[in-house]
Amino acid sequence: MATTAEPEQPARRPDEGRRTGAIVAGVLLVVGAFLLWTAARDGDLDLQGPRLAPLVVTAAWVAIAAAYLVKEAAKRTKAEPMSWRAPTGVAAALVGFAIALEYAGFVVSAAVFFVVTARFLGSRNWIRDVVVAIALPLAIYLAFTRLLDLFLPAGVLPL
Amino acid sequence: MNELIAGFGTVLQPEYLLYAAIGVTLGTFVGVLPGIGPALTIALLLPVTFSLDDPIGTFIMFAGIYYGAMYGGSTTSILLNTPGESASVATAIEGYQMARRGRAKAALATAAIGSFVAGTISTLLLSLFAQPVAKLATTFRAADYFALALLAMIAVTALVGRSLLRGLMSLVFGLFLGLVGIDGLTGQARFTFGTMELLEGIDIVVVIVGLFAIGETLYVASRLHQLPEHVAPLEPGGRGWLSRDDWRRSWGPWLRGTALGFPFGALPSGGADVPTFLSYTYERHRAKHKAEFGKGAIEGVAGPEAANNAAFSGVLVPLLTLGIPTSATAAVMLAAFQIFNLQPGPQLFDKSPELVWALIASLYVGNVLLLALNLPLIRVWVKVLQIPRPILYAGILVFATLGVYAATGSVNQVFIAYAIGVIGFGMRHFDFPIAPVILGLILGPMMELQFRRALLVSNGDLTVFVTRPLTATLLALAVIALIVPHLPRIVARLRGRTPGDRLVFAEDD
Repeated sequence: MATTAEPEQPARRPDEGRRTGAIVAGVLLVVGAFLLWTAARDGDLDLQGPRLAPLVVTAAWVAIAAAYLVKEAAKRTKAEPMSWRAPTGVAAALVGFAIALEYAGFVVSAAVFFVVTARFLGSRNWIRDVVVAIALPLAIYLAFTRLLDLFLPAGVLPL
Repeated sequence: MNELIAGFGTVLQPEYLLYAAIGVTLGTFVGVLPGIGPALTIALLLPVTFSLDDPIGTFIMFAGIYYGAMYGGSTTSILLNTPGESASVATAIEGYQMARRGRAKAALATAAIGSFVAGTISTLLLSLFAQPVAKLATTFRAADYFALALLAMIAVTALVGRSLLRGLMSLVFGLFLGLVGIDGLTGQARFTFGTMELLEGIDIVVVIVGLFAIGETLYVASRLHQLPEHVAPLEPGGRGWLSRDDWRRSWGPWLRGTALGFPFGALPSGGADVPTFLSYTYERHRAKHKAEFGKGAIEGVAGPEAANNAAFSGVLVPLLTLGIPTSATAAVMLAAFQIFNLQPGPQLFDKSPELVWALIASLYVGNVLLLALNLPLIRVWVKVLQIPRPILYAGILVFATLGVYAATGSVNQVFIAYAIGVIGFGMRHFDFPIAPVILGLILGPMMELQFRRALLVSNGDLTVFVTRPLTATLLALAVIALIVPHLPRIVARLRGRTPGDRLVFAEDD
């Protein structure tokens, strides 16, 4: 997993996949070890008790992650090309949506979220996005609260 | 038989027919959307059912959604070459090639009619087998259920996907999610890390929405430029779906696909993935026009589509009679049963026969409705396929957030769903299969409960798991399921040849 002290070279692309795979396995191993430690702290091996299953599951996690690390460290796989901008943008928009949901209300927060997300996903048609962003949440809100009697936060709009 | 007729009596009431029609339309609509499968559709619609107090209507609708989503999925595979789930991969191979060669309508028709034939035959088999299997299941003890759940989990993990290690990792993650919360038997908190929010455990809806909706959308966002945008055009003209020659070449694969799909669906082997690939491989092997395969052979669409639909009725056998889900969608169906305080299993046939038989009867009705809806409305479904991607995925995220919030009434649960979505994105990116997570989450707690029950009965004696022949057999099968994918390599090694790749039935998406 750890890179050796070889000098930095620009032509290291085939290596990249190998390192990511091993890093993923390493992270899984660390998380698994932490969970195993959590389970073992108050664990007992009573077969009928509630503490056995967490021990078994987390121990299996650690074992599988370790085996995966060994396998990945020996392998060179090519990483799938991806862009980070769109997924991070969408994830940030989601967080904003969830925070705003109960303050600004469903319709307003969903409308803003919709426009921002469509933009991140490559839409370049403002008018279409805004029209859908207003119509869709409004229709959902009315259908859910009036027809299905489910609660959605109304927020700032006098609905 | 009388019960089935009574079931038809229920379903054919106008109100329930409406539920069935809504279900198949909604299912087809969502199934056509690229990237959305039946499991997510049902999970997103679960909150809607909270305000319905009629379990029969709800399950009629769910059955319609499931069938509809499968029909819709084949349309997407054929016209856009983006299989929504691994069971439609085989269809996408030949179907898209047919569409590119101007035979889109024949491909759609053989898929739809094949699904109808397979769905009807396998529903008939389900009607025949359900009650006897349920009777047999009343003799099952806790140790048997433990072994069965273990077998279902291991078989799905081992048979589906490219890497056993990655599959097991997904499974263990699902098992871990299932452990979070208060232990049902002793009331002790596990993996809650001192928070109140985790005490109730992690809801299946939250996990499904996170993994399938949020994770999928983030994944799509990360590879926006690599997605196929081009929808294959339909030939003009309203007539001429299948020629005489197409019929002649299709009916055999339909029946063979059904014969493969139903038993594989009923066995704990992960639903439709294995039989669709077996059907595809078999049709290619016995076809007269071998050269046509890979370039649009109608047999390669007819067989796998029939197997796909037949497997669904097969999956219902263990779900209804044993309460054991063997695919992600079946796991969501089980969650839906639990919302109505119904526990699928042998008792279900005694306690709520009207529900079970209405559900089975609705499968026959749903099949007829789908055949009537699918082909005549094909131009509508093509329009659905042309919804711009940004609008589509932004809309999915709004619905996903809404679904979790309506189901749990808590913003914190929405954040948990997002966090699971980020994990789901990572899993897709690094090629970890998703289905084992869902099965681990659902089957893990079930397994633990039965394990402890079995030990309670045996006074803590572990030999209870090996002394009963049925339990021992099931456990042995679970071990075999772990070995089967490696057989080709082991055999190759024994014969002294260079080992090839492990046996893979499905490319996991």
